[in-house]
Amino acid sequence: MADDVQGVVVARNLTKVFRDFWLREKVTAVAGLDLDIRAGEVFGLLGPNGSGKSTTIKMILGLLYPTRGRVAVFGRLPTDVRIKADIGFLPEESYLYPFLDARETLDFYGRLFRQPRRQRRRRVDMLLDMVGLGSVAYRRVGEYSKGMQRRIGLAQALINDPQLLILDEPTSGMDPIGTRQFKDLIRTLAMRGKTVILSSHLLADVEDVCDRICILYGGRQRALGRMDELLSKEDFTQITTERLDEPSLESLRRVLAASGRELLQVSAPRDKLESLFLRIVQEAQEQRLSTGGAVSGGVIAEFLRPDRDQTHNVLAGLVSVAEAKAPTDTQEVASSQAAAAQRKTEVLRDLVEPEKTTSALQPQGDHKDASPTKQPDRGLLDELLGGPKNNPEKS
Amino acid sequence: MRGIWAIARHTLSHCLRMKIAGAFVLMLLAILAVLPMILQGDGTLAGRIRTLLAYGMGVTGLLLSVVTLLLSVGVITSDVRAKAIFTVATKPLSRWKYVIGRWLGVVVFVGILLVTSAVTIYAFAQHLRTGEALNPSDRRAVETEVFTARRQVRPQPIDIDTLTERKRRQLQDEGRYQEAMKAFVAQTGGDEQKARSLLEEQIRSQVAGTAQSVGPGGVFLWQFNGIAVAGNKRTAKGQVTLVDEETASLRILADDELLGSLVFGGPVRVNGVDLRVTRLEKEFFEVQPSADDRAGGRLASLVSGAETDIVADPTIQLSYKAAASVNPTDKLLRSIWQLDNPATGFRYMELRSDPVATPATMTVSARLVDPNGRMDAQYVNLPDSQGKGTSVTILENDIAVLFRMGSFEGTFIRGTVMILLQLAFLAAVGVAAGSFLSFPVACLVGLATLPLSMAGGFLRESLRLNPESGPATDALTLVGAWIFRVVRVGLPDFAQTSPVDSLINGMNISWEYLAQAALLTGVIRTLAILVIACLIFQRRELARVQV
Repeated sequence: MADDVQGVVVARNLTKVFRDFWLREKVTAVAGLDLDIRAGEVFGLLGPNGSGKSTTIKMILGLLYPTRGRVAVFGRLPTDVRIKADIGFLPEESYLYPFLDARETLDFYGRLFRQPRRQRRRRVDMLLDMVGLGSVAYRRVGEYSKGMQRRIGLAQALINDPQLLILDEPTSGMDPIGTRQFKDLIRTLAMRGKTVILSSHLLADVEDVCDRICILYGGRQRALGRMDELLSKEDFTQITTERLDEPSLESLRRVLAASGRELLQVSAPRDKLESLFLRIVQEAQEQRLSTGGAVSGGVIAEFLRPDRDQTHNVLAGLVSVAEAKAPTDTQEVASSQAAAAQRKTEVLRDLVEPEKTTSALQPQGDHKDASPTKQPDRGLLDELLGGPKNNPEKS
Repeated sequence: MRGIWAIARHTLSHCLRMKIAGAFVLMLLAILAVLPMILQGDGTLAGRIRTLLAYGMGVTGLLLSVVTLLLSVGVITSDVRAKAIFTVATKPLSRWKYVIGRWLGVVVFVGILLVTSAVTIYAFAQHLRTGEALNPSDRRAVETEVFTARRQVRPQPIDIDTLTERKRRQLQDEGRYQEAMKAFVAQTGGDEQKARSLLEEQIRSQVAGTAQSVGPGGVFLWQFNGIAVAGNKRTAKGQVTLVDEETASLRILADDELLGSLVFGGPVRVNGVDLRVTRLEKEFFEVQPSADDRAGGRLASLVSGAETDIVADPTIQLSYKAAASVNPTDKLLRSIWQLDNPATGFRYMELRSDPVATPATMTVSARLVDPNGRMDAQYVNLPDSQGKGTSVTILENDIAVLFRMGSFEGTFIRGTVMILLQLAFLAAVGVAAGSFLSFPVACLVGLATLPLSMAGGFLRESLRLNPESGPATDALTLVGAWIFRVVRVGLPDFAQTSPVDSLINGMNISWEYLAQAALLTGVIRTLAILVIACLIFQRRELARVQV
């Protein structure tokens, strides 16, 4: 199979049939699935319960064997031990050893990678800080809440700085802060060229971080493609501006009517609950209120970060993406509301001064290559806002 | 190896935190503390120590066997059931290393428990050793029959084949053989071959019985080969401190080194005369020379205060058990033992009265053994005090010469290693069962192994499934015989290789014997089962399809 392998994970006609004791075919969990997951991409596996996501992941990991078809990881069979040094896996629940504490847990998994003691200790410390469990590192994992167990589960998946990270329902049971940090981490890893396979029910998480997705139903592939291709609505344009009074709205309707279009929806945008929650928790943490649970952590372990030169680019990238996201980003919550208002003003000024380009016109998205594939109708905007009709270099 | 050791460490850590270790140690201490109080054995100190060793090691072996099986079954099944295997099997660790690591972890854990237990038992035994013996004979038994490591040799086997052939010819000449054949043929329904086989067996059995029995005044003759005498002759000067004319005994003061090499009832040469130690204390010993020796022999010059030459030879023991066809009225069998060195002609004789069917031991000088390790023994069956006699039987397996081969501590350590080998085998069985079965089913399979291993011989007898007893006659027996054959090859016979009997009887467990057990149980059987476990685990799917 190695000769036709281009991606990190390649599956052809992957099929898993579950048989009963008498070897009668009971259910087809995965049917004829073809996958090409390339290096450096964040790939989402979506589907309702029982659609075959976990079965697919377990076949990729060699925990289940295909009934038909084949799958290769790094060009080798999934059962090949050599490939596993480059794989990190977080199962759908954190199946950890309850009698070990967090530090022992990570140390144990580090030993399985034959990591030297010094490196193992350093990584364990960094990972514990990253997932915010440094202060409860000597508590048994069995005493942890589900979310804390997810965090330590994530840490064990990262102990080897994997090239391929497979995450099955990674944010289930995690609090919004952990979810947010987790998404930031995936972005960082993707920037370092790591490949991430993400299976989740939480569509918002997938939407935030994935480059490509595959939607499964009944074990069969129903959709496969880039996130922006699948989600863009080519027939609609959305404009966000300061609150408009009725006369302004009326004039908008008139402009639109003149070009034969209709104003379909007018509404005031609401702040996201995630943003509100993050703000409250952050305030509590700033006041150093005590908690027996996980703290924010969030400093990505050094060995998982890009190297020094790359760091500036990554940070710059993160900042630019974060700025483009307006009110939903953690960093923005940390900044003052005045800054947000300032940005909003700038966006509006850009809108009313069409000779200046603005990133706010680009679709809101987190991922690094979320460049707009759909451009707003500049002609209509110019007409709406009274700007020049042809200014292609500013589009 | 690092991967295996990482899993083994993890298993050990798991086992230690299951609190089973604490519970086991507490239970063991409780049993060991209570046992000597409730089980007095035959009332002697040697009996109490033997009871402690037998029950202590026996209970330890049994408890640890069960613990080993439950743990070894649980280590893999719990990982699969709790799905923790997902995070381990996706790491760069071969599945066979995982299986071996789990097995190794359990073995190390039960090894720790076993060593703890063995050290405790040894300490208890040494503590009891310092206690007061019932009598000097009891003390002698403690020192020379328990806290020692002896090897035994049986006499040259009786040539049953020749004797049987001789008997058959005699019967044929007398015409009785043909008569017996007719009776057996009628009994077997005309099957002449079977009838002949039964008759031959009966003649053989009769000949064997006759060869191992003697009537009143009769004589047994045995020849022993392969006796290895350990230790050196000790020579020292002693001072006669008391001459008791009434009991005709001499009390001789000697140094610690010489006294340490004497045993109560054992031989000692005083002024060139072979005598027997009748009392042994910290600073002196006593002997009872015959009147002839005292009157005009070499001991005549020994008066109180006189100095004398003392030689303590290395010793050997003759152990036997005599049964009687009719019990004498006083239940004592009188006999004369005559032991000869076939090379030098050195002879030792002793008149004895031994309880019927009770093991007896004589400690004699090793000078009776020639340089080739040979010694001849003769037993004369004497009539009882009323002049009546009875037929005496001493079976081949009831007589042996025992000689010291090593220390009790060495045997104790090797015996402990043998128990560990058994536990390692059971751990392999548990791991193998757990590699593809669920916990309850694997437990059932594992625990079924225990009685089969511990009582395989007994079961074979009771089920009449001895494969050597001839072809099976019906399908059920045939299937049973085949199953048993597989079980016999696959499972070691713990009853046969148990070190407990050796420990309580002061018998040596040699390095060769240990190596043989290690090869058969530890290497071949355990390895074979582990290979099977690895192959199964390598191929099985570790997750289940959940849709």
